Amino acid sequence: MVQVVEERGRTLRSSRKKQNSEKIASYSIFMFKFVCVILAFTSVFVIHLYLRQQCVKSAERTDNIKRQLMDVKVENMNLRNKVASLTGWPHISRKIREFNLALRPAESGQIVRIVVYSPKQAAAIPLTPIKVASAGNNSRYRTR
Amino acid sequence: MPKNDNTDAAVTSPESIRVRFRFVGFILILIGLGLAGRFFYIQVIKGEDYLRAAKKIYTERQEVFGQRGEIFDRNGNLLVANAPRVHIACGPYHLKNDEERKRLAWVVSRHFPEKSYQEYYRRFAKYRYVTDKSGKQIKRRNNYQLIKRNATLDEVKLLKKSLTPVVQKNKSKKKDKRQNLLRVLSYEPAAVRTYPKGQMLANLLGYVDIEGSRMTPRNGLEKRYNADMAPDKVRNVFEKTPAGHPIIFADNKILKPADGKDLYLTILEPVQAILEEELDAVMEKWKPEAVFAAVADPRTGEVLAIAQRPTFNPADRKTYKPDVIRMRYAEDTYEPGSLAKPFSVLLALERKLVKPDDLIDCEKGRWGEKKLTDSHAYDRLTVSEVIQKSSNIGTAKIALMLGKDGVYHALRRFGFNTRSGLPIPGEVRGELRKPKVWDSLAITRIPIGYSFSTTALQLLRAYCGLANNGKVPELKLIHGFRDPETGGMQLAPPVKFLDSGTDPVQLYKLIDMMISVTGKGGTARKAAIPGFQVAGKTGTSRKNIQAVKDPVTGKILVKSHYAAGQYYASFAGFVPAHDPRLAMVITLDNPKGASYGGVVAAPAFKNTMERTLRYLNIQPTEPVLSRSRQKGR
Repeated sequence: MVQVVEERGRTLRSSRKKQNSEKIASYSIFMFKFVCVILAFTSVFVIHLYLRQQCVKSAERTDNIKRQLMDVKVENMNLRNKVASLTGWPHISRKIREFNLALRPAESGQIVRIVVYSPKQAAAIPLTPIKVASAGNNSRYRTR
Repeated sequence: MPKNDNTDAAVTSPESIRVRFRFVGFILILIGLGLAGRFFYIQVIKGEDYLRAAKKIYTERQEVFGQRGEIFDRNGNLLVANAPRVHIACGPYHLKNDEERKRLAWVVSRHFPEKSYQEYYRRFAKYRYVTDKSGKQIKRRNNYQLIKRNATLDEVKLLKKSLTPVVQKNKSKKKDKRQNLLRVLSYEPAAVRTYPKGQMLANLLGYVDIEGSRMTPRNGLEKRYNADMAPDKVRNVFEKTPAGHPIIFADNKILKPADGKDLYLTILEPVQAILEEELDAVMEKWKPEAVFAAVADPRTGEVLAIAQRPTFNPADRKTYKPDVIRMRYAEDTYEPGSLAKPFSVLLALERKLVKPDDLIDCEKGRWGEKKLTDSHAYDRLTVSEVIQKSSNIGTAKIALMLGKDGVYHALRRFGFNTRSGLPIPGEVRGELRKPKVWDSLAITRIPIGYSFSTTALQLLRAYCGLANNGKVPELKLIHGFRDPETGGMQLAPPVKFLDSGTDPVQLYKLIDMMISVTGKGGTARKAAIPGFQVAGKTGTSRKNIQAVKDPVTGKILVKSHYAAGQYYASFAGFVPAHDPRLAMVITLDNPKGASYGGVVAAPAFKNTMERTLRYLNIQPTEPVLSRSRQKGR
């Protein structure tokens, strides 16, 4: 009887042990999965934070470049204004007076202008007969 | 000892440990509950308030303006430009100590000496005191103090350089932010209007008042075309990083405001410069109260130059005076004098009432009960000579042949008493009364340019009409608008022409008469240009002083009268006479030393036209050298 009880007790212990070890295994698996999930979430969160940080940094860089571009644009505008001021007649005439340059305008007869046309432009100009005393009556010249 | 044993046993008994655990657990629960309660209070009850406060800190609201349209001449030369500027401000509250306050005041006073060191030091106090409605003084944080309005970028750079701490060698390369006073400075972008050509065209262009980033036009084309040139305004809202950069993944509203359109004028800057230079010379030589002139292309009505003296410098507010800001060529009316003569003579020629060679008795310079006089005593003059010598009596006699309606029609068909078409808000029409209300003298006074008033622009348009075969163009000043976004040019509508219905043959004869004005024996030999035939007419009229009324009683204090010894001296003409490319009117208000248009105004016409013809490469129509030089004598 004692033997039977002892045997039952042993079987019961062994089955409990088995159950316990199964429980531990399943608990370990659960914990492992849980930790994995936590890790996954954490890493996703960290990556998300990292990417956001990178976004912010790149936005900052972009913003800085935009500001630099704006600075260049502003400098361009200032330079353009300066060029406009320096090339204006009021400034030029002031300088002529300042340096006492003996400049005077050319006489009408002194000015000769030559217009050079590209073949395409020349083709677009219609031929008009004009009479030039030295060139004879039937000469044709390309005129504008 | 046993007592102690008992005590230890009591302390370390499982019951006491349980009590301790419970106590600690209770405390922890209490703390947890407290934290949860606080958490609930912060997140739920006060959540909205805190969120609002936090958003206020990291949300930036900006009112951003685009750029105001700029003004260019016909060829894209800049006349009015925007110049970027910066408002420099600081937050004195963030200064750590008095040493920083002193240093900032000292550096700023050296860069911007408009205010003294003491003044800046006073302004950079940590707190400021404001008076509320009840008169009580309230202490406030001094978070904003403007240092310099509209500073140039160079000024900003220099200031930044002065305030950046010097990094010493053998020390950390990182700058000590605590010592860097730049942290308390802030920069607000702004813009001002600049005038690269100085006072050139100042009256016409007008000026703007600048309030913060807003520009309010006050005068001239700036005001007239404000709707086109004004930029858009947008309100940007964005979340920012501590450094002030926008956070791109936040719910931002960032828009780019549209810039105003650029205005292109028909003005040619070099021609304008020539005209203004000649007016300066006239001012210096004849010292008139004012002189105004305009040059136009009679074929298109496009105004190439328009100027007046005295004028103002738009960059210098001290020169802004109502008398110089007024556009005299459009807002001042005057009796044109002999400039009106060709119109009546032309109609008389067309109606076959006279021929160029018909002789007219000029009564030896005095005629009628209310003496009409000529400047020189002429016996008999041909119609051509009436124009050439500018005989008042001869013109009046021709006008009598036309009758009142004829004289009225002769002037009206060339656009007198109507606006010139230029976009000048204050332009006046002048006064030309209808014939039925004319008195008995008007028929002889109006054709010689008295008893009616006009503006220089109306005269210019009328002379453009004479030059343009009788087709009177509306004057044009706007070439078009350029959209800065697309770069596309929107051209102004074409000019309308008023057909005066003149006979081209008779007009040709009149132009020949006007050529003789600048020839030998004419009143304006000084207007002759070598190589070109110049058709023109001098005009000298006595200055009419308007009646002065008592503003309260309405009683006339001073009657309208002609001022003794004060004249308007003018010249109007076009060149080359039979293929006109340029028309010009110039008027001097009360010149000193001489009063005849042929003496004071004609040389300015000649100089301006000569230089302009050369600039525009208009070839001479006549031999340039004199006959004697051609023959090699």
